[in-house]
Amino acid sequence: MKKWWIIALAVLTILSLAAGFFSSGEPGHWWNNVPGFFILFGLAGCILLILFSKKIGKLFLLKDEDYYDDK
Amino acid sequence: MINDVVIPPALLMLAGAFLLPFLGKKIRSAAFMFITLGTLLLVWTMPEGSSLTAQVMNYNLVLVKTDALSRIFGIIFAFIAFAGSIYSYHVKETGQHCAALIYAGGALGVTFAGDLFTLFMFWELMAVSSVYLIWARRNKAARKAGLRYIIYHVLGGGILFMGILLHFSETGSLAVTKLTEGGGISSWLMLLGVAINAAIPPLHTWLSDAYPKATITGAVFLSAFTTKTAVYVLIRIFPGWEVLLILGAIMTVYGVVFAILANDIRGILAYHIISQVGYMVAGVGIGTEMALNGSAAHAFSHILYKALLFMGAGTVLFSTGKSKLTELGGLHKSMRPALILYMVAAFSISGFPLFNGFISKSMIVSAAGEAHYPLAMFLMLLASVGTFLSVGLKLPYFTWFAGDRKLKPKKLPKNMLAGMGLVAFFCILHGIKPSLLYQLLPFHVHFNPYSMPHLVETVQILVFTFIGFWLYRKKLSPYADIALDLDWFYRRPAKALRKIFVDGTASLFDKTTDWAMALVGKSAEFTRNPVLPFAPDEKNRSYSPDRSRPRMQTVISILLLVFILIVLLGILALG
Repeated sequence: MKKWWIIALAVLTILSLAAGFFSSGEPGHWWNNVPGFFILFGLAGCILLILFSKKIGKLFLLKDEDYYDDK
Repeated sequence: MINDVVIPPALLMLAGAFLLPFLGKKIRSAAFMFITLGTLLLVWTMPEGSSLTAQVMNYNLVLVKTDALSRIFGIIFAFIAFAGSIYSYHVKETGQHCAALIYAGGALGVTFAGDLFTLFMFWELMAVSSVYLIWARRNKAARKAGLRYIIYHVLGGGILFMGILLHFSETGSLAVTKLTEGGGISSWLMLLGVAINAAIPPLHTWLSDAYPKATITGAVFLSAFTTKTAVYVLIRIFPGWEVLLILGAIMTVYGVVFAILANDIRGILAYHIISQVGYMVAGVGIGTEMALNGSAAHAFSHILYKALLFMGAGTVLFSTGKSKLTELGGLHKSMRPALILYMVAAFSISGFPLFNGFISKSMIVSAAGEAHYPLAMFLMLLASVGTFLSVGLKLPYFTWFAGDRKLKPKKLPKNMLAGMGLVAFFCILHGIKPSLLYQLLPFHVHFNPYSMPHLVETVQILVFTFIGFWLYRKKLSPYADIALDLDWFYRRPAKALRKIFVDGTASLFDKTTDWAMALVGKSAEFTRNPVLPFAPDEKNRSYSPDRSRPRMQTVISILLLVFILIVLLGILALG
């Protein structure tokens, strides 16, 4: 990844953490009181989606492109 | 009997489709644009509360009935037909233009229908016109997928009509009104029919099967009308049905998982229609004013950015002739304008602030939170992670960047980019100024998408989805394979079913013919020589009446016997 990409992402993350710290979360949900909750949600969600999809793909779903063709 | 000067918008589109083939070849594409633009103006200026009824036999059919809900859907349907007509200006095939006009007319007809019968008529019109946009691709895969598509929709339409007829016989009313949950078999049948068009799993496979095989311009129209008219009907008739919340929330993630596995770029986008419609279906299931507003707003936004995504994928298919990630890559230098316009749509669907997906999707997610459905909310947030992952990162990365396959893309017609530019403009405009969309919504809006917690949440999710993608991008490298979906259950056994029902019936017919011919053969011998069965020694000798004639005394004896019997019976009867 290019250097300025990393800098931009880091700046956005720090800004969002700061903003989350200074603004009060929407009431009623526990996760609004966990700082950086959605950092974990985004990262873990993304990786789990990739691994889960690829796993079930490998296990059952992925077939050759001519699977349905008349042979 | 027509009581007002309200022109049904659907009629304008249908009349256009009828007239188009009679116009000069050179002006047909322009006429297509003018018809859709005219319809857009008509819908825009139609006041809320106007209606048009017609007496057909003993029934009062309400052909047009406008309120805020039908108006917002009418506007976006007409608008996307117009944008699509610009995008397909270069297409020389009048059949596709006509099919698109009839299809758009059907969508508008459903939207403004005031009674269930009118609604059903236009519903079916959409099914039969839209299939041409698939078949017009003119290859074997499209032909077969189109056939599965139309069979599925005819089935769905039949179920819907069955529900409508039962509903009519129970209530005596054809009005399009809200039904209460668990209202009996008629309501469930209607829901089932509508759920097929909304592509709610497990009834979604017609979409992911057929849309990637449609024509370049046809897919743009397909992405807009069928599922969103179904969402409209769900908002109208089934608000607050909790089953829709459950199905909708599952649907958002279901589409995402299959999009990660997909290799065809339009296949990825098709699965993300299912995922995005999931948000709208869930919103209907929540059923609060905010959630229904959210569903309508998201349908509006979705039609814009999804059409733009299909347009972007269409430019790749048009200029390279390829649509599989495994065959694409390294196009960013030669296709920069198309890439930029595609990314506007990708940012919109991923819910980036300042783009229109952000201001509509968040309404539904927040409504789920407010109505205390945290699980549904989390599934929807997870789906937005997956949306950015597939549509915003995987697809553009492997199409325009990663690797270089030395493709020489053909130059794009200007009208394609113009159509995309128009749609992209509104994706950004609504993102910057949400009130332009919110003022069209059916209920008053008390919602600010640009609240600080919401921005924090969105930025964190997007940044770390990006990081997750970058770390695991090798895992996402495309392979030339297909992912089986539930259509396996009717495509795979198709061979066995063909054996039983087609080959079986055919061979039964063949056998029956053989038997009949054999019987005829036998009886032919019998007629040639009737005494053959009684006298085996007659074989190999042709029939001669003299040889087979009985002796005279036998005949006389039988006659006497019969005579005596008759006399005896006579005496008995008289005595």
